[in-house]
Amino acid sequence: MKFSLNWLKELSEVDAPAEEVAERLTFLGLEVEGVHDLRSPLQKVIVVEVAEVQKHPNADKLKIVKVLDGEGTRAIVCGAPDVRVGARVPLAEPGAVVGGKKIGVSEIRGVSSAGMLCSERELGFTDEAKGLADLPGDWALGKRLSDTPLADTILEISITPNRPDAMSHLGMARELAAAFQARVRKPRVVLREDGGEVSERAAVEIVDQTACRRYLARVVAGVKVEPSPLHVRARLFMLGTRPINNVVDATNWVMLELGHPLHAFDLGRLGSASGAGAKQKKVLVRRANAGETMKTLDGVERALSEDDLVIADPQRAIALAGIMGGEESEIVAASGDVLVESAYFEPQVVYRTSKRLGLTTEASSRFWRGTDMDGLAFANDRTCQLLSEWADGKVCRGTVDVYPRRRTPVEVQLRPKRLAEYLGVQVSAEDIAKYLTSLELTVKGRTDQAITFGIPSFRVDLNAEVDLVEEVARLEGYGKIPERLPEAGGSYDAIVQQDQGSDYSRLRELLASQGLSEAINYSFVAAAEEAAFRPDGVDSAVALQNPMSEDQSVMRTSLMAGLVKNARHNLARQVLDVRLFEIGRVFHPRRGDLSALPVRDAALPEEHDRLAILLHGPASPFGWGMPKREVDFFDVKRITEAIFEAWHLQVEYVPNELPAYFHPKAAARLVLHRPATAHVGARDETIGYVGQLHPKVLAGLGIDASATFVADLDVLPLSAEAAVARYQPLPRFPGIRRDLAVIARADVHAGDIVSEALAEAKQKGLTLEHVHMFDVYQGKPIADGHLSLALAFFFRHPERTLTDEEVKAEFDTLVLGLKQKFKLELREA
Amino acid sequence: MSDAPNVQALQSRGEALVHEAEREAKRLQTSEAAHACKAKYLGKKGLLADVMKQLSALPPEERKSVGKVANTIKEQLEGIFDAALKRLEQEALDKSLETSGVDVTRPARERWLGTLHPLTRTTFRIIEVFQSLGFVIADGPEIEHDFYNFEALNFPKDHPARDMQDTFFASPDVLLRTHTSPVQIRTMLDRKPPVRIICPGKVYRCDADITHSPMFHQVEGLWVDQRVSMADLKGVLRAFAERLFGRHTKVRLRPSYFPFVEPGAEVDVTCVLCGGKGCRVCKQTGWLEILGAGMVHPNVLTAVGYNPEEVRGFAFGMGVERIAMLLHGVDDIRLFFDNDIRFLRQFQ
Ligand SMILES: [Zn+2]
Repeated sequence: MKFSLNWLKELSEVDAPAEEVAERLTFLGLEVEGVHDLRSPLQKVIVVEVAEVQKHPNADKLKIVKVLDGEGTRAIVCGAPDVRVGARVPLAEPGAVVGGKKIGVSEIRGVSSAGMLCSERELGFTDEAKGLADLPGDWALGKRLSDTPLADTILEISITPNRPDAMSHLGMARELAAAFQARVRKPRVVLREDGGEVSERAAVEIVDQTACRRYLARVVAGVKVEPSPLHVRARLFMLGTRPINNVVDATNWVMLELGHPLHAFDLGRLGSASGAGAKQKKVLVRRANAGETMKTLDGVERALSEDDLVIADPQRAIALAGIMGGEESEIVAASGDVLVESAYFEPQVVYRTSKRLGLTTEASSRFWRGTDMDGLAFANDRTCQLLSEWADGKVCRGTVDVYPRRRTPVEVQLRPKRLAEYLGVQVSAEDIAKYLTSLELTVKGRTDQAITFGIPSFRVDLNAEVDLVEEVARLEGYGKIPERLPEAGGSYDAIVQQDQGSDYSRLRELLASQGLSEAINYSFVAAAEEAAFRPDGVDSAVALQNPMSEDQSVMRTSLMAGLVKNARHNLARQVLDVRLFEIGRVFHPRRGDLSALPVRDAALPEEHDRLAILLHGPASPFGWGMPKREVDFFDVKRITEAIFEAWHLQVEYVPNELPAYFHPKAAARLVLHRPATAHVGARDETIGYVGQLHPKVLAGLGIDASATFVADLDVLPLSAEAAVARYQPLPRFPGIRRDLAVIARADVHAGDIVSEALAEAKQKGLTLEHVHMFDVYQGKPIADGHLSLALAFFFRHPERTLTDEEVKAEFDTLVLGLKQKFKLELREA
Repeated sequence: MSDAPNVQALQSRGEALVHEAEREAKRLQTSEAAHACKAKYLGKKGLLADVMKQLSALPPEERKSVGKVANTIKEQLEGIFDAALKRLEQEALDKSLETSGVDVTRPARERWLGTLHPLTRTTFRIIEVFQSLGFVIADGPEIEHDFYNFEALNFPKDHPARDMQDTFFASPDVLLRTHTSPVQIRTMLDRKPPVRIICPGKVYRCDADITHSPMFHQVEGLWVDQRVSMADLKGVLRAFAERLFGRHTKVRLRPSYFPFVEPGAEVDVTCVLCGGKGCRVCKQTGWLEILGAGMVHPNVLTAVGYNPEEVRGFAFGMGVERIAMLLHGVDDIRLFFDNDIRFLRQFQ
């Protein structure tokens, strides 16, 4: 919100430079985000009087204006249409900067002009561009405008939602006065009530007394609706409020001054209750009726709900309570009698309607934070005073004040000891009282332990002891609180408690060491991206009600779409070898029986931490002295194997039951064999997939599927530390290796040969330790549909050295079995 | 003992042999030639043997001294040729090394190191500091119930404080968490005090420009115990700031408002770029706002079943992106989520 430094100084006895004011307010929690000095540009602008207007000899639209500056006469060339002799107008002297332009002595069509006569807009007073600014007649000639009330400094202050009282110049002046231990100057209001009896003109009924706790109306008769005086318009304009007319400006002025939103109705356009005299108008405060509509001041026809509170006359709604007036009762040039409303509307009621309609106004944002229920009579009086001053209005005697349940005064106790415990610094009872009374709290009682304070009605945020602790801390200054490290004692439990979460730091480091860079993608994706990579068994995705864009409208059910998008991004920027991983959450609508869950959790989707890997492009783009090739399945398998090895997990690569986004023949399901524990028997669990992406999910994306390999797995098994390894005694006797070279049909799986050999050896009690495939070859001279495999068999006896004869016998037995089972043809090794 | 003629003859002829051998050994080029040459002098039919043969009929009393002289000459000759062989071996090795070198300026065979995301690294750095202060990590859902994200944190329904955090909704009561504070609520509901946790994680707000992302990361901390105060909060934050941004980093608290704490504060640290002298990044103030903090509001303690008369706590929270941007000089938050490998690799 914008604040006028002039106004703050009018309302308090503080007279400090803008920078100091800004600093003090910021350290009271009223953060000054900007200081705009509007005075300096006015230093070279002076008050002059128009003495004579002549036609310009060489230009039809220009005039030569003779002006008096208090010392002499100057001739200025001016293009304004009607320059009135005797008017006091602003002259920008040579050297002034007006509207970003530097003014000099210029020749305009052969006539010299020593400066420029300015409009309101040119000087930044208002956006009125027509004519010259009309300065007050009593301003001395030659006076610099920087020395007039039009020269101001504007402070931009960010006000937190708990401080509605600070959303006014009086409220801000109060803070400032407290900071400087100075006094506040509240405006003095004296009314001459010479407009007749208010009771003859208006009656008020609050139908819904929970939504409207108080409604106060006054009537000002015979107002002349016209533009406000220049200083009023200029101040409103500089504070970001557009001047409208003197009536509307008066309500806005008082809102900016005292914080209470007011509304002025054209009394003549309101309806009367049947039976009452036609002169007495009736105002009702009620909920809107079903199907009721109303045209607000902004010209929009609003469909109302029964939840909305309206101000109505007996016939129709005339305002949305606390938000915006209606067009039909708006003040217009012909208005004469004005009803001034000041009321207290329940914050939540205003908030709900305002949010539902998407209509936030200066009034609504004050009402929903909480206004001063006991301050609204003063605000109304102040408005009436301004209407009589600015618009010649005659204020009717008395008020119509419907206030069925008076506000209970709030009292709060503060224990200085408690305050010291909270802040870690002692503040004396005297200082506490001094600080809080400077904010207009009153001391209601005092004991050894506590002081009881009465809370002023404008401080709706002060209701509990801790609220007062904060007030004292603000005024004492957070800087006075010492820095201390907490005592370690008493928190032993906290230290030994196990971490609940995992940062997967070891996994991340491992993946980085494997050449992968870590990606972080948004959790929301486009619906089509989500669908393309949706895991099996997930029927839908969590959709956002208010996404920022269609591209970010559903929560991801898999990480894959993000990495594919990243691959495209990089390929488009000539990064051709894409190696990425991401660890993050995916979101699956909850399935199965929800009754066992706490109600709130049952409403939430399931969240799973996953790991996704994507490799694309040349296997080693910067490698040399080795055959060039694209990445393949075994590159990504190398990474998953590294992970499983690091966590001592036994994982099998099973070539079936794959999600639809994988290549059906170049991918594997990862099956984790969990060993038996004391509680659960051994079991198998699918933890993810690895392999080539299906070409259809990359279609049209400009990514070659045959060079794109991914892994997608559950990281839960990797969240814990790997099991502590158990030491195995080192072998004491040498092992013996035998190699086997065979030709097999291309659909024979190397892994099957290995496991068959091991199973056979186990069954027959052979000394085979392990089998390792060390070469594979496809192509000439091997027949089509076949390949050549080379396997190394390692034999070892735990208690003695094996003889060649023993190994040969075992090897031959195994080879024979494998040959028959897999229809292998032996090659010369 | 007088030298017998045999001994004298052997001596002089032997010396001649040694002299000759030295001369010859110097000219040897290969180890084969060296072996041949050695044989020529020392072989069974070699030059030394010839000399020995010529000493006919040695009287028995001379044998001992002749043998002694002969041995000396033999050792000398062997020494000459061993040295020559050693020299030649060294020369051969030097030569072979000379021709078997590599061009060390060629690149490594493969470039094979990836990188953690800069946000991950920054999060880890933050976490490490707090872990060393005894905080443990706590975790919770990213899609939350209104109760945990707002209501229990003293954001009542239809309260303007909710406007401070533009929220993504999945349904009227289910939303993307706007801060990691719901983890604090879940943890406190789950445990008795004391509680000392940090909650890192993703959070979401409808906001996007060069410093705001609709998804970003926070680390929040919570310490609830019998005796903690705002002075402890300041101490912890100072320790954190010094560890993360360097010694002599100062911390400054300004009053502010977050519904779940009171007194509440914005926390500034000495500008990491100018050290407090004032620069473009800190808008000449010398300070950077990087945290929000405060004493846990009694309403929050009550909501989780703690007694605010018995325990107090402080909480603080920071945006990881903001800190990473400051530490690394990144000027557009969107770079973190493009995952451009050229960007990511700068943070190895
Ligand atoms: Zn700086």
